[in-house]
Amino acid sequence: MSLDILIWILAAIGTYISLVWIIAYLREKKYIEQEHRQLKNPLMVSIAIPAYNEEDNIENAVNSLLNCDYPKDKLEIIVVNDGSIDNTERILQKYVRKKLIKLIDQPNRGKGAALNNALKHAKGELFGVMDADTIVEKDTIAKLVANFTPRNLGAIMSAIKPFKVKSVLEKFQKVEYLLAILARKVMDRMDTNYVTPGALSLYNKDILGKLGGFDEHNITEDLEIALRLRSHGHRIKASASAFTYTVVPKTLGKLFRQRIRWNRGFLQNIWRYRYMILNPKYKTLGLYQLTIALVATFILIPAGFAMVGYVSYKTLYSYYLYFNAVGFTPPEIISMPTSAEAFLLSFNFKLYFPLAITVFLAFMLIVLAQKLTNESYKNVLLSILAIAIYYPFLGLIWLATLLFEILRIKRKW
Amino acid sequence: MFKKINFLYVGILVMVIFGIGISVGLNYDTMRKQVIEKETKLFNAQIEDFIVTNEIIRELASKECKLIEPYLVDIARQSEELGNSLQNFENKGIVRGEDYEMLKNSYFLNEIHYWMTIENYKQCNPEITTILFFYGKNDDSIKQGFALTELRKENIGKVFVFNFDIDKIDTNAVRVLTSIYGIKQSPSLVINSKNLSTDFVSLDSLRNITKLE
Repeated sequence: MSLDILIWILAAIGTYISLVWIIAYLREKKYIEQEHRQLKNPLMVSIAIPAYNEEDNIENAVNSLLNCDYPKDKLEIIVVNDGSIDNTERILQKYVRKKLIKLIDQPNRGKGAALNNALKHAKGELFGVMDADTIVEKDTIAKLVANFTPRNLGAIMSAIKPFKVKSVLEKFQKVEYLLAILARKVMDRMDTNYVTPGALSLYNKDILGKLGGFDEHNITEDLEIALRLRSHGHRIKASASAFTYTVVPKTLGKLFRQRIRWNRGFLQNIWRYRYMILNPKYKTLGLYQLTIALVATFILIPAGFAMVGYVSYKTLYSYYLYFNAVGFTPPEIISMPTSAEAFLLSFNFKLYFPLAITVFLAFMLIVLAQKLTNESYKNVLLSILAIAIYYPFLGLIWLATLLFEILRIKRKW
Repeated sequence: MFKKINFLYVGILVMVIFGIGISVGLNYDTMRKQVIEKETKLFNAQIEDFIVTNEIIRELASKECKLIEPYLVDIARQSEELGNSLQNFENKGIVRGEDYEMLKNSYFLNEIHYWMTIENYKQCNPEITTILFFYGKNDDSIKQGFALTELRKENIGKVFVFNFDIDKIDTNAVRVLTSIYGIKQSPSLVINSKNLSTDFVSLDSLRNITKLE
């Protein structure tokens, strides 16, 4: 198969995935943009915050929950101190003294174990999981509870935005997070959500208990529980208006480590729940969503990078031959076309057409995501840069993940 | 809820979008071929014009034969543009059909015609160097092409290079030419109709050869 045909096939797959999201969004716009419901029956909610060495963040998280516009008698805050060796416990004690939170101490056993511990003590009908580096808006809990319908719903996730975005890397992550809000909301309408992010998700406590709680040996226990809910036929909804703000990695190294963990968790869990893929029992989730997740992971990303690598190699090798033949004199990189006609015809249509379609649709998705999340359209350049630089970087991390898994490098928390 | 039938509609839409893309790409191919055909005709006409002009001067003003030398440079530029267009468009085409092979053969024939014309003109200016460059799909051919382009740029109006793809010989004229000079591999160079090199010749060596000539 020639490189050109491969480019067109990959672009067609990418276009298909993007168009499904765009068309689903446009067709379901009415439901997606108007999710607000009046909170008629404020259910008892227990929010668990596992904390390990979170002295910098824990106060913000707890305070934001305490400031929520949700009936105080219906909101239980449980913080699990997972063997912190910093000042986390000391900070939390002042809230305990005022009886504002319930504090559970345990030796360091990981996030899954901390959540199970909280689950045992939780009184709420709904069990919330919130990261210690996350804060909520005043109406976040109320919006999530109001949208927790039907009652046999498995879980609902909040709309996550990065907290205090300053650097370019954080701004790129913001583009990604906004796009995730759109994607998850669209997937909600397609009934294909299979994640419950740890930043803040609410679960039906009864269902969670019946399923055995969280997997304590999983590096992405939030993904595992979501797939378990789905495998037992429970739906997962997504909110696009109940915002939470999470601290995102500030350096490339930290981002790399975070994503390696997420990606390895994805691979670990998708392997565990592989029976759902292409299984008609799981309808659109099994037949479409999980399948394209695998196609993207194992075909689109590696093939995309293989092509970029091949083209880069050919270009560099051509320069090597040039310098070898002529010496170190600047080559004529661009040969100017002699007429407007020649200029138009020198356009490499078979390469730029699929590329343009892919970039245009990605850009369109980002614009729709900004509209949905009430963000400004100002950062057009940033969005384009995110497509050109940030997403390829994430792709590289995916390749590294695959490599780590192939080489069986030990998984770390 | 998003209905399953929509997945089919999106599939059809993707096919329509990429179908339009292929259709526009094929139109591009057609336009490119038309441009090359036009350039080939122009190149042909310039050579014919040069031959007639050369004969007129030889008959009527033989001492002024160098008057037509600027035309040679024009034709060389035209030849280079045509060669570039052919290479450029061939790699960018959606379909690589027989049409391109025919255009390429036509280009090689024009190159031979042009080479013979210059060889003939050398009676007037013996300082001119002609190089027949037989290339193939290998790294040495690519390097040789770079070196020759550089040499030509350094000696505009003095060094003339004529390119032939040894892997795509489909005309009797080129076949005869390769047979006469015993060309069996690429890259091969025929310099001023006699010196034969069947290996990569560095830019420095080429500079020396053209000076010696």
